[in-house]
Amino acid sequence: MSTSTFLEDQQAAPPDTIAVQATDLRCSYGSYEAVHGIDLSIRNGEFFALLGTNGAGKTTTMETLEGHRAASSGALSVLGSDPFRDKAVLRPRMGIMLQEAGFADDLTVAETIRLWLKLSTGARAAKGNRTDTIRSSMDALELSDKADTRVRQLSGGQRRRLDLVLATVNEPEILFLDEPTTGLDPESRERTWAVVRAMHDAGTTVVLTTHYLEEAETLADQIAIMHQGNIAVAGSLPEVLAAQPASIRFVLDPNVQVEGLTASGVNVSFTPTPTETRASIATNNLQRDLARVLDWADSGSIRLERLTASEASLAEVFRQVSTGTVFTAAHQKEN
Amino acid sequence: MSTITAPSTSSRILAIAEQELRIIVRNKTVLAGAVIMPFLFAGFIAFMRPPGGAPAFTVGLTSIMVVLLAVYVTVTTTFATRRQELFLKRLRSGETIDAAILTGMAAPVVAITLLQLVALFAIVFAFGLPLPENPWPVIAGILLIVASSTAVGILTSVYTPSASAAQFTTLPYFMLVLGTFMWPALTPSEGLRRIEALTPGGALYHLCEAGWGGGLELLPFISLLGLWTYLPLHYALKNFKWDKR
Repeated sequence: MSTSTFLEDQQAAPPDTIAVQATDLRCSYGSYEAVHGIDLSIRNGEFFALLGTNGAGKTTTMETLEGHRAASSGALSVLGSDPFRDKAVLRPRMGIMLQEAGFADDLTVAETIRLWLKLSTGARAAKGNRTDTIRSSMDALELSDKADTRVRQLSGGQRRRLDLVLATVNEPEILFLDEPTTGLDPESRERTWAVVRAMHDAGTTVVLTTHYLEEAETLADQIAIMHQGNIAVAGSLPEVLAAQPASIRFVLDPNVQVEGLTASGVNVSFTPTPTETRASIATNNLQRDLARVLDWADSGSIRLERLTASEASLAEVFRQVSTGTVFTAAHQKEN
Repeated sequence: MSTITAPSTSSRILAIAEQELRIIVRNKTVLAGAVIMPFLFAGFIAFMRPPGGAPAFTVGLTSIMVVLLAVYVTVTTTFATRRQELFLKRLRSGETIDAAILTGMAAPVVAITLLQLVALFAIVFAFGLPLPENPWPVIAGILLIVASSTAVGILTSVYTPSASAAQFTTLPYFMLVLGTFMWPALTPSEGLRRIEALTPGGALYHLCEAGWGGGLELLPFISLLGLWTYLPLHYALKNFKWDKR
């Protein structure tokens, strides 16, 4: 009997092939349209993060990709099949961690995993391997001491980790994670990411939604930010950030003469307060403009208080999207 | 290296049924509602030999009490609870097809009830209630009322937001079956026969009566109970809610 450890049976899909392809995908609840015609292209083996404010349509999009609901129009293919119609074919190849799904509260942790294994396809779920699988998956997420605890008595973080165990025990080719770390303490988050990262390294395609932008920044190959049912920004992290200007900020004494700085060609705006003048520069050439600011300050012996210079951050892009400042062609296409 | 085969639908149903049985046994409230209460209640009726004390009436009323409490109310409560816990949604995020999930969840409740009925009637007949001359209409009637109660229970759960709401949502069908069973026994007026015979309780009454020599045509009553199973089930599956929202 083979004791398959966590990842060894993982079969990597051929690189550079498409795992998820959506064209003009629309999703409605009755007369309310939650997703207004989005395009998505996720490659096999990619780590894709779908970001957006609450109500942007992320969960609806995820549930449609997972086959929980049918799209109201548009074309959708996941691993080459229609996720809603071909659920029976696709589900064994998918791992799904819903934003909110429950357990039978009177079952223990080990019983819950065993039930799930009995319902799942895969080497780790095969009859002779179940006991090993239960042990190793509980170990990976530090649930071992809770094996015989009823699910009712678990903390929120422990429940979320059990969720992840169920989503991953069948060694899926594509893993959907809808806010997997919401409400987790930093240690649990780290453990969650260790498991997900290991699966991704072994070739699993990951589709993630999260409110933690730094998670998307460190983990994701591709990012899309949704706003009001549309994809506002999409691309790799550098691509998404490149569209945004970097910023320089500092504070001046209100008596400082600023004409010299304006004349140097820097696009600066000032916000005066009774005690100081706040300066802010948006620039697509951070190095050049920073040098100009420093030259100007040096030549006039001007002191720049609280000086910062930073590339655009995902948080900044996100803020602009959610206030409606940034939109791409995807938005204009609508109506 | 072990070969990877998908579990069969029947083994998935069995796995869900097994965990559901485990939950029933662990949860004292459910255990009391599904097993102890109906057994005591029905046992009481059976030994009381109610007025009009024909064996058909006693057997029919006893079965109805067991089936309504142990199957109908329990199925409604179980499905409402699993929906509320979002466990139905969880099961649906896996590989198991919808019909197998529903079958697996209802199976232990039905199995427990059938065992209860067998035990109860073994005792009742051992204590002197005359056995039916023709048992088949009685057995068919009881099995069909079990099927109908399961189907209507699944349907009722769709309109039952929580386990405690089941106290109210189960009343209409409960009263309908009980009332229409009593109707022909207590008021044998010919004029209303046609309406009464269209109800599940009335149909069961006539099937039970046939067991002790009431030679009626049976097929219409059997078809009727079949319809009282098929239509609610069809409607329940079409409108089933997997999520609590």
